[in-house]
Order: sequence, then structure tokens, then C-alpha cells
Amino acid sequence: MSNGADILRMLKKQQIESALARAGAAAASKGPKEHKFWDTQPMKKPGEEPEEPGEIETKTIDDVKPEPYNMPPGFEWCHVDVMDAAEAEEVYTLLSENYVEDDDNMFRFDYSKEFLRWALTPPGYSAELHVGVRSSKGKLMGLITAVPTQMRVMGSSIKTVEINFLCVHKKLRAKRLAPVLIKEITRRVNRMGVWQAVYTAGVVLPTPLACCRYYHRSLNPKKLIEVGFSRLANRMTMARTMKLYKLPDNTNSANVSAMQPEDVPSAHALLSKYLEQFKLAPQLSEEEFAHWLLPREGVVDCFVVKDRNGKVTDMCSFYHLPSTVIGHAKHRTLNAAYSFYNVATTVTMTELMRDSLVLARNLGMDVFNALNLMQNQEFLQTLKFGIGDGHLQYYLFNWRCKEITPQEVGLVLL
Amino acid sequence: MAANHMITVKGVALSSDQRLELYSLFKQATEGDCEDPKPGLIDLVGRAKWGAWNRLRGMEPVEAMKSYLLKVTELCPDWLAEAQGQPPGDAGTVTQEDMKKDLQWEGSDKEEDENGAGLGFGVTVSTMAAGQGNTAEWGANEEIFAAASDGDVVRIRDLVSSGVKVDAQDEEGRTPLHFAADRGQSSVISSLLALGAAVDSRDADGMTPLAYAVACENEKEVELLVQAGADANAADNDGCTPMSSAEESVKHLLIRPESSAA
Repeated sequence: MSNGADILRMLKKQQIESALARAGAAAASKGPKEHKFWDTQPMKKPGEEPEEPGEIETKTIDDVKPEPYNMPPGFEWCHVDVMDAAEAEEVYTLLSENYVEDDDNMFRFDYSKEFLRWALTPPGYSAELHVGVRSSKGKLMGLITAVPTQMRVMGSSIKTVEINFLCVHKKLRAKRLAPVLIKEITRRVNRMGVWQAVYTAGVVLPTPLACCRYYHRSLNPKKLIEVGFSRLANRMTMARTMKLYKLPDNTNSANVSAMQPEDVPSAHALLSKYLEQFKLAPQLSEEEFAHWLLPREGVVDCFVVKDRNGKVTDMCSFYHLPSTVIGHAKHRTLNAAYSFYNVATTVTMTELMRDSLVLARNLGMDVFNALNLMQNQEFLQTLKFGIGDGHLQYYLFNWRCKEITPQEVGLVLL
Repeated sequence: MAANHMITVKGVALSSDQRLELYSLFKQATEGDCEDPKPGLIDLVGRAKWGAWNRLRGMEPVEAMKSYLLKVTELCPDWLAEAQGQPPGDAGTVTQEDMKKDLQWEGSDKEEDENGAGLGFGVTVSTMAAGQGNTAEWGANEEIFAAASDGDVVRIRDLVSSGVKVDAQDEEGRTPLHFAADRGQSSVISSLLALGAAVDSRDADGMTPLAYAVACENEKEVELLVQAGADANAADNDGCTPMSSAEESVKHLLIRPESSAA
């Protein structure tokens, strides 16, 4: 260590500063990254600050070719029907073995079959837009999906699809299938007369509509440390960590209950009104609301507080997205709850979310995840969320508009 | 990328690990905490670099600069001497040259991951970022706590025989036995007790090692401490005892058979 101090003493402060300044300038002049594929797509260009929002490329159905894109030899397009048990199993296997992993390859998303059915079959869905790629032997090797949603983007109501589950088998990552899958689903969506899409990604592509950050609230800190999800600092003790994250046994609000079908009309009205304040938000019909928010065991939970007349005044919801803990002797699965849609009117958002944490913990969740969107910033610190290493960018395909802040985002994707 | 595997700093060949270390320290020194988004799945180099930088979250830029210079000195002991041999005003160029090499490396992986371009759609797997809370390292005279936490029995014996107190307390009153109980290091518990450690030391909150083991539900450690006579009814400053706060998984271990209690 003394060596380091000597060096510093010998180096003039000025020299260090000037070296750092020059190095910093070199870093800044690197210029934007090239994206061979994305630069050809109708996306807002980096640095573009459009005054008027609107479509980037205007086409009609006649401009869209009716036949699918060519596949490399040995592969063919297919539809996947997640309502069919065998096909749902195939999708589950493809994703559980090949889908998104964390940076250190310790965790991989493990979407359950029930979750996939929920995610892919909202009202108005089309199996045509659950696009698969099969090998000549019939094995499912690739996937991309779209489901319809009416979206409000800064005052414009747009017919969109949500794109998700882009996955290519690990063995085929050299074949450049992803761009073909994206082009093919675009073609199919366009053939249905839909020209815009929303999607999220952890990576930065041209050009995000909003850049959000993940936050994590430990519910089972000991397990999170054991599996390497979080670390125990040298001077911190497990005993104190467990004490720090301990939650009450029961919710603070005595009359929280799981949402029932009869609560749907008033809960739907509550959420729709609430989402009006955000610049990007879905416009859910009552039927869609029921699909996305009525509790499904092990998939999505929604709790409501009602007034004397049975009108829903507060609601909190989260979906269940476990991850496989890769190669761990003791733990196979990390159970994560993801904050979904929350509205508080009789209590503060922080009080509501504290109850949501208790409910998630009581359902066996190890961690509660939330993005810094909507009103979440209000409670993250108070409720002891820690910042995550994951970012999530929101994208809008074929629509140009100004970038918005996380607090202006009122949309949660799966 | 493969052809690019080794770079040199002033004629010294560097491994990827060394380059990563220099890179991460450089970024931390010049830009502070990593705020860049995680690169795509296929961008392996980008991910490695991002990970290395992100692991330094919370490190003061000045500290990073110091470590960077130390590392460069270790790899290329003569750089400073050479720099000092040069006319005044030029001395900084050596450092800068090394830094520039790291930067060139950063710009060198042009190869856009077209396959990966779309992968990562949907939500991302995120884990708790490093460097939150008190991340201070153990100091030189606190080595026994690190050894107890890590299960290094040999080191503990060496330290104790060289005069370190077996019941040394850290700034919060915690002894090595507290850390061993907390981290589930049963062999350390046995060693510390054999070396004469007090079984019921209190930390600043009045908690005993047994209270730690109970809170963590470390069954084996609870058993060892109870066998050594730890008091299951020792109340801490909040009035909680190991017995009163124990979960079912460890509670039965606190109840000693009548014969041994008598």
C-alpha cells in the first residue's frame, strides 16, 4: 500500500488530472455504436428530438408481402399453440433452457406453462402471432410472440402489439435467426393492419423511449445471499440482515382480499383513471383487465381494498416469475414477484406496497422486484429496495416521439 | 476478437484478467460508478468489461486511480522511472499511454452482435448491485474477523498464537465467535471454543453468538454453542432471547435434555 502512496506523491496532481481529462475526451469521442440490423428498422435515430410525434414509415397492407420470409435450409416456420399441452411443454422447454440469463449466468428465467398461457392469450390474441421455428426433425428451435394492446402514447391512442419471448436455441445463435424472426413477426402484424409495437429489452438498441432500472426488495435474504443474488458485506451480519428485512406477519390494512370477478368493474375503472396520468400506458378494456389481473395461482396475484359499498379503492398486484438457479446444490429456484399495477387512494403508495411485500412473502416469494416507473420511486427507499444491476429499456416500433422519464411510464410488460 | 486476446503495456503481455482489472479501475477512476446498461447476451467481451466495472460500484475514483497506478507499477515496474527521466511536463504521457491502450481495447470489439441484437427482449434478469451499505474492508488488525467469517481455522490459530485476542471485539462489539455463528462456520466455532473463547460475549445490541446462530437458523452452530453451555435465555437490549426469537427449525435444539441441564 505504501508503494501506492509513494507513486501518488511522485506524480503531480496536475499530471493525473490532465491524463484523466484527455482519456475522458477520448472515451467521449468514440461515437455511437453501429447496429447493422436495427439501423434498417423504422426506429427513432439516436439523438433525434422529434417535435411532432407520429409514424416513421407509413404503409398499407398491400405494401406488405403476403408470403413469409425465407428460412435457412433445414428450418421452417410454424405456429405454436400454447393451449395445447404438448406444444406448451415445447415452448416451456425452449425458454427454460435458452432464454434470458443474468450477467454472471447464475439465473435463468423459468416462465411456467401457466404463465406462458396467461401471457400469450389475452382477449383478441392470434395464434398466428405466436411464431415458432422448427428444425427439419420437428424440434422447436426459435420463438417470437406478439399480443395486441391498445396503447396511449402522449395523447395518441395507438393500436399496437407487445412483442415478447424472442428466443433462439443456443445451438443456433450463429445463424442470425433473430433478425429474421423480428422481420417475420413485423410482416404478420402488418398484414393484420397493425403498424406499431412496444417491447422492452435489457440491452440498448436504437432508440429507447424510456430507460428504467430494476430495484429489488429482499424477502428471504438468507436464501438470496446463499444463491448469490445479493452479497453480504464483510462487516454486515446475516443476523442483522435478516432483522433489517423482517416484515410483519400480517398486512397493515385488515381488509385486503384477493380480487374476485365481481370486483372487476370498479377495479378496472380505478386503474384506467389512474393510468391516465402517464405518458405511456395501456388502455385496457374490462375484459382485458380481467385477463391480466384476476388472480391465477402461481402466475399473477391482485389484492384489493374495498369501501363499504364494495367499490375498490386500492389495488396492488404482482406476477410470479421464478428463475432457475444454475448449478446450485441446495436451491433450484429463486421465486421472484414482479410489481405489476398498483393504485392507492385510501392509503399512501408506500403503505400499500408494504402490504404487497407482506402478501408476496406469505406466498413464498424470495424477492420482490420493481422498476423505477410510475410512482415506484416514492417507496423504493423507505421499503428497503436495493438498486439492481439490470436496466430495462422501453421501445416503440415505428413511432417517433420524445424520450420520456421512468416516472412517465405506466406500462409493465412480462 | 480472438486475435486481439493479448495487448501489451510497454512491452508487458497482459492476460484478459489483467486487462479487465485495468479497464475496470480506469473506468471507475474516470467515470465513477457504472451507469451503462448491461451489454447484450452475445457481446461476451462487453459483458465481461461491464461486469468488472460494475463490481467496483461504490469505490471512490481516487481509490480506483490509486489501484490502477499500483497495478500498472506491478506489471511494469519501470514506467514511473522512465517517466521521470523525461523532461518535465511529459511525465504524464506514460500513464496516459497505458490508459489509451485500455480505451483502444474498449473500441476494438466493433463486431456487432447481430444475433444478439434482439435477444434480451422482455424483462431482464437483474440481481442486487454490489457495493450497497457498508462495504468497508477489514483492516489489518481485524484479520481474525475475516478469518472467522471465511472459516479459516489455521489462520485463526496463527493469529491467536501471535497474540491476537480470541475474544477481540470489532467496532460493534462483535467477537470472532459472533461471525462464525453468523456465517455458519461450525469448525471455527469448535476451534475458537477450544482456544478459550467466551461462549456468551455480548455485542453492542446485547446479542450473543447463540442469538446470531438462532437468527440465521444455523442448526449445526446452534447445537455446538448449546453444547458449550451458551445461555438460551440471555436477553439482548430489546429483551429478546435466543429462545423467544427462535424459529421452529432451531427451537428444539435450544432445549437441553434434563440430565445435562441439571
